[in-house]
Amino acid sequence: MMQVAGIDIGAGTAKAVIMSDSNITSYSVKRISNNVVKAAEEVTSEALDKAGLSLSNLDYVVATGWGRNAVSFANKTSSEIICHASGVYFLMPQVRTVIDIGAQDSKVTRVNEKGEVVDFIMNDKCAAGTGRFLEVMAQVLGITLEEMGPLSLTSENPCSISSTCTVFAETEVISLRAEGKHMNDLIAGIHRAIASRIIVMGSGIGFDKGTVFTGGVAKNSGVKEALEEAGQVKITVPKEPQITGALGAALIAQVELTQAASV
Amino acid sequence: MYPEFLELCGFEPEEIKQEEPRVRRAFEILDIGPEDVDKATERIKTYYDVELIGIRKSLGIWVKELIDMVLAKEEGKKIVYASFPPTYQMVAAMTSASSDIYCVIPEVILGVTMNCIFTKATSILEAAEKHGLAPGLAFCSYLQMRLGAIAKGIIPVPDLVVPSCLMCDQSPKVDELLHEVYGVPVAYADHLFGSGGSEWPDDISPQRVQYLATEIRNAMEEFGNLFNHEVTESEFQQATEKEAALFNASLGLWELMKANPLPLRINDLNMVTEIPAACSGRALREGANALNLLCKELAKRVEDGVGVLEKGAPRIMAAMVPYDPSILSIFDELGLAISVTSQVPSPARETTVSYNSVWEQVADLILRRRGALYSGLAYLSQARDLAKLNNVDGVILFHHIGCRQYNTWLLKAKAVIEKDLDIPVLIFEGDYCDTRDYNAKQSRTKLETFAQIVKTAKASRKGNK
Repeated sequence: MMQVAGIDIGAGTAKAVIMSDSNITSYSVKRISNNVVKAAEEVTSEALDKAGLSLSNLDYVVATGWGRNAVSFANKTSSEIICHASGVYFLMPQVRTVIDIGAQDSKVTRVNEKGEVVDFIMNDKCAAGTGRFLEVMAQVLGITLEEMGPLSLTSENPCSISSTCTVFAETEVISLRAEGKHMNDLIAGIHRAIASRIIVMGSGIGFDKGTVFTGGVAKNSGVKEALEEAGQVKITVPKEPQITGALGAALIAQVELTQAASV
Repeated sequence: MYPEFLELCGFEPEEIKQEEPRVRRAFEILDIGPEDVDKATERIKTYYDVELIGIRKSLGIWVKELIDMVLAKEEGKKIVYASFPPTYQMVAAMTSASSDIYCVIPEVILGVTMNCIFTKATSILEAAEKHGLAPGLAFCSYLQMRLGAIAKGIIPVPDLVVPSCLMCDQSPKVDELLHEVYGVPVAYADHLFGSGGSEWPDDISPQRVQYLATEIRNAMEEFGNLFNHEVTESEFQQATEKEAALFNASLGLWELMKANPLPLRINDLNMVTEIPAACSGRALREGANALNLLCKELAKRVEDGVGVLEKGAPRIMAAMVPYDPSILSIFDELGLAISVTSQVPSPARETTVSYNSVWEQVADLILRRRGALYSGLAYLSQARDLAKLNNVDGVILFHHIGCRQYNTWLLKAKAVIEKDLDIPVLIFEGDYCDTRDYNAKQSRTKLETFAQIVKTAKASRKGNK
C-alpha cells in the first residue's frame, strides 16, 4: 500500500493530509505560533497518529505553502497554487475556477478539464483581500473570526467600506462604529470590501458555475455570500476548505511515487 | 585593495594598481567598506558566470562607471545627467563632446551596482523619500535612486540634466525638482507619445520624427551654449556611429541566445544587455569589446553543445526584466530559459522616408527601434512579434511597480499575446531597485506556478503535434 503525505505550511495554519493509495486516511489542521518547523512536525505527527502511522511509514512527502521549505522531511516542494488546484480538482472535477484566500495571500486560479492550472493571479504585497484583513477587523471590533460569518448574515443594511487597504479600512470601521453603526452591518460591509477586491483581481481569470472557494477564509459564510453577490456566481465551499492545498500536495506525492516506480 | 573583487570585475593587474586611489576614494564616498566588498564578491560568484572573461569585463564596466560618476566633480568634469530611458545617441554625443564633460544615466549605473552588486540601494531610496519623492506614492525607484544619491552626496550635483521624455512622465518632474532644489539647468528633449501605433514600425509618423528631431537638436544646442561647446551635425553623426557599434555588438549576443541548450543565464544576460542602455563613457569605450569577447566565448559554448540549462528547457521571453539577481536566479532554478528580453530591438525594416538631417535620422531610428518608445500599441505588437519570431513557450511581462507607463499596457498585452500565440503569459510584479516593494517568497510561488503551467502547455503542444 502506498502511503503519502501532503503538508501545507501557510502563514497562519499548518495542514497535513495522509493518503493511502487514492484515499484520504486522515488530516490535521494546527494554528502556527512562532516555530514553523515545529508546527510542520506537530501537524504531521497528529495526522499520522490519527491514521495509526509513523513518519517512517510514509513513502513520499510533498510540502507546499509559505513555509514549504521548513518541512525538512519533505521529498519535494510545490507551489500552493498548483496544490490547491490539484486538491480541489480531486474533490470536484467539474471545477474550473478556484478562489483561495489564506492568512497572507489570495489567489484566483483557472483549471482546465484535466485539472491543470492554466492561469492564475495572486495578490501583490498588500494585505487587502486576505485573511489578515479580516483578522485586523475582528480585532478592531473585539470579536472572533468565527463570529464574523454568522453575524454578517443577519445584516439588513451593510455598511459601505470604501477602502480595501487594511490600514485605511481599519480607520473607516472605527469611524463608522463611532457613528453608531450596528456590528452586523459593519461586518457585512467588511466582507463586501474583501469580496469586491477578489472579484476585481480575478476578473481576468473569470468566474463560472464551477467556482470553488478554499483556504481558511472560506470557513466564513459571510465572505462566501459576499463573493457570490459581487461576482454574480454560485460558489461552492468544500467540507474542509483549509486542507485542499495539503490534499493537492499529497496527490502530487502519489504521482511522483507512481512515476518513480514506473521508471 | 580588494584584489579579488576587482579581478572578478575584469580589472587587469596593472589597472588594479593604477586605479587603487580612485577605488579607495569612490568607495569611501559610497560608504562601501571591506564587509560590503566581501559580500559583493560572494554575490558576484553566486549570481554571475565569472568563468567568462566577457562577463568579468562587463561587470568591470559597471564598477568603473560607478567610480567615474562618483569622482567626476572632484576630477574637474562638467557633469550631465540624462534620464532613463535616454536618447542614447544624445548621451553618446554629450559624452564624446569633450574629455572635460562627463555624461551618464546615473539610475542605471546605481541600479546595477548599488542594488545588484552591493545591495545598498535602500538607504539611497530613503534619502530620496526625505527629499521630495515621498514613500508610498508609487514613484519610480529608478528616479528615487538618482535623487537619493544626489541628496546623500554620493554622486555630485550635475551641471545639466537632460530628461528624455521619451515615454516616462516622472523623469521630467524629478528633473524639475532637481532644478528647483539645486538650481540645475534642464534641457528637455520632448517627444510626442500616444498615437495609435498600428503604423509601427513600417510607417513611422514623419511629424513625430520631425518633432523629436527638433527637440534633440534644441537640447544639444542648450548643451552647447551651457558648456561653450557646439556639437555639430558631423560630431553628432560620429557619436551616433559609436553608439551603433555598441548596439550592434549586442545583436550578436541575441543570435547566440537562440542556441539550445541556452548558453548564458538570465542574470548575466540582463547585466550585459543593459550596457548599451548605460551608453556613457565606459560603455562607449569598453562596451563593444566586452560584448564581442563574450560573444566569442559563447560561440565556443554553442559549438561544443555546452549550456547553462538542460537542452530543451522551455524558452521564455521576458518583456522588461527585474534586476534583483536573487529573483532572477529562480528562473534558472526552475529550468526556464530566458532567451529573449525587451532589450532585443525590433526586426530591422527599411525606412520608407528619407530624412536629410542627422537629427531626423536619429529620431526615426529611436522611434523605429523600440515599440515602447512609440506607443502602447507599438510596445504590444513588438512584444508579441518578438515572442512569435523567437518561438518562445511563454512570456513574462515584468510589472515594475513604479512605472506608470508600462503598467497601463500589461493586462492588454497579456490578453493579446495569449490569444494570438496561445502561450502562457505571467504578469510578474516587482521593482528594479526597491527590494522593500516585493516579497521573494511570493515571487517564487508565482514563478514556480508559471513554470509548471509553461511546462504542461509545452508538453501538451508537443503531444498534439
